[in-house]
Amino acid sequence: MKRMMMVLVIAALALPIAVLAAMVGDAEHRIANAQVVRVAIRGYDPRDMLRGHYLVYRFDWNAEITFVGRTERLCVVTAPADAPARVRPLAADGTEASTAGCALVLKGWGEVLPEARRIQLDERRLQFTPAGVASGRLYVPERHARELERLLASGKVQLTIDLAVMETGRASVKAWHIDGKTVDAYFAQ
Amino acid sequence: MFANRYLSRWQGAGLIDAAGAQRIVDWERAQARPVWLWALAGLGAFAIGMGVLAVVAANWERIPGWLKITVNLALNVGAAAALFVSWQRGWEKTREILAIVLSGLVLSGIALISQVYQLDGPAWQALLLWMAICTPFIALVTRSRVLGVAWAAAATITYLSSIEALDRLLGRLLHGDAVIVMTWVPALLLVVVGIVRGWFATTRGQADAIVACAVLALLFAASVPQVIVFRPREEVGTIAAIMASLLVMALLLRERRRGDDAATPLMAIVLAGLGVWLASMLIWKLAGANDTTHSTWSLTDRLPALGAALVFIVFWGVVSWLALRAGRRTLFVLAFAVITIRVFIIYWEAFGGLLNTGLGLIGGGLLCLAFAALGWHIARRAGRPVEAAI
Repeated sequence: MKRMMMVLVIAALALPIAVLAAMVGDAEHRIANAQVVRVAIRGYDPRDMLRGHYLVYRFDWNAEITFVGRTERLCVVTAPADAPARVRPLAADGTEASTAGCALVLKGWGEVLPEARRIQLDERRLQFTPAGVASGRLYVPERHARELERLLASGKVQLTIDLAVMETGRASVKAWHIDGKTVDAYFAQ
Repeated sequence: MFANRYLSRWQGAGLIDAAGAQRIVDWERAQARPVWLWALAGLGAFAIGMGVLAVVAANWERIPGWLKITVNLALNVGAAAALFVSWQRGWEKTREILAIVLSGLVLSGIALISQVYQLDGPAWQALLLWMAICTPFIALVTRSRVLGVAWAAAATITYLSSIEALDRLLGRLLHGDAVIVMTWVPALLLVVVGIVRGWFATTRGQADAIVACAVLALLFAASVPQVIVFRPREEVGTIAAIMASLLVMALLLRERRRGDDAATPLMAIVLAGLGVWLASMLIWKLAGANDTTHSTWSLTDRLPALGAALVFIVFWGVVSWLALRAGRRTLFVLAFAVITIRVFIIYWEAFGGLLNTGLGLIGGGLLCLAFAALGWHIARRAGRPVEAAI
């Protein structure tokens, strides 16, 4: 009984460490085996882009628009390594759902806005959030935050996110860049 | 010395004589510790800790992600190993402190990995993971009341952070709002956890602490019908809550037969709390509400809201009576205060305009004083010693 109790206690104490290690392993595995899709992003609120240590952003898809309405999948037509990917939304109702010619398919949720509504909201036509990247926040090193906010407000830089897309279609943020460079490399130049 | 004031009072009341008072003073002197030196050492240790944190924080972004995670994992392994040794050797205080430290390190590890890998997801998922992987070692290794309360508090925070997601899920399953399932049933679950914990002799103290937290949760959950109008379209959630209550009552009945004195008042609270829910829902059904939930504080709905308020007052009257019988003066005072505040709110809502006048204020003040005097009189007549809170 005492021996069994000891085994149970050791197992219980090892559990959190095993889970933490598994989280790291899983994240590394996803990044290593996923296809990378680069997407342009822009700040959510021009008056308040950085909240604390986070940049609040929205995706700025380079999209071919063929319908108006809801979408739950994006067909990634081309995914160059050093430029934003070209995508085509697939209609949720199945009318425009062909995945022929897609390098990969990204799952999530969104909508293709009619032009009039787009102008009214001052938004992009394609509003899409990939599954697994719902928060819309990026951690920003504090020493660069103020300068980054100034650059974003001036519109002189392009921000991009590299999404690591799994076979299931879910994505996670692998890295983000300013004008194609990592954050530290950009501010070091 | 802190005891001098009390010694004079006790001597004056004839509880102890001069010789007894002197023996207490001599014993206290012999037990005295160099408190100021301990405080100075503590201040030094705190300053070192803050300094280390400041250095790390200032260089945080320069530290590579892999190094941060490696250090965190190493700290977790170290804390787990130290906890194991403490448990094996029976070092009680060290064991409990290390359990808290390890829990904190695990949570910081989850947050750190999420930050380094930019992992996404709602906070409740991280908290749920944290609870799932820490609860086993807390259950097996710890014994103290403090850990019991801390665990119950962590479970409550985790639950509350997930309430929106749970509401959406239950709403789809039950085709409507599930307020009674989301508030009453989790409080019952906490009662069950406390009871099961109490089955082991070494953890009875911790079990009592968890049950005390569960009682607070039950009291809060039973007060929810007071602030919302809730009339479900489907009765599935209500039936589920009734079934859960009956199961808990059966469990408490078993405990009572095994000689647990606390089981009877708990059964009364569970029964009364369920009664509050059912009575309130019946009132809103008779008032014509249909699958609506919104807060109401005023008597603009007049009779139904007054009826719900009376149900609430009756419930807290039951709680205060149970507290008096059990000698729990603090709980009795709390329950009486809740009743007083609710009655005062009824007075305010009924005679709101009068409160702009001096007479209205005097009336409200007299009402509060009358209740305070009544509560004091009842508590003194009960004549029980002051027990621990709850």
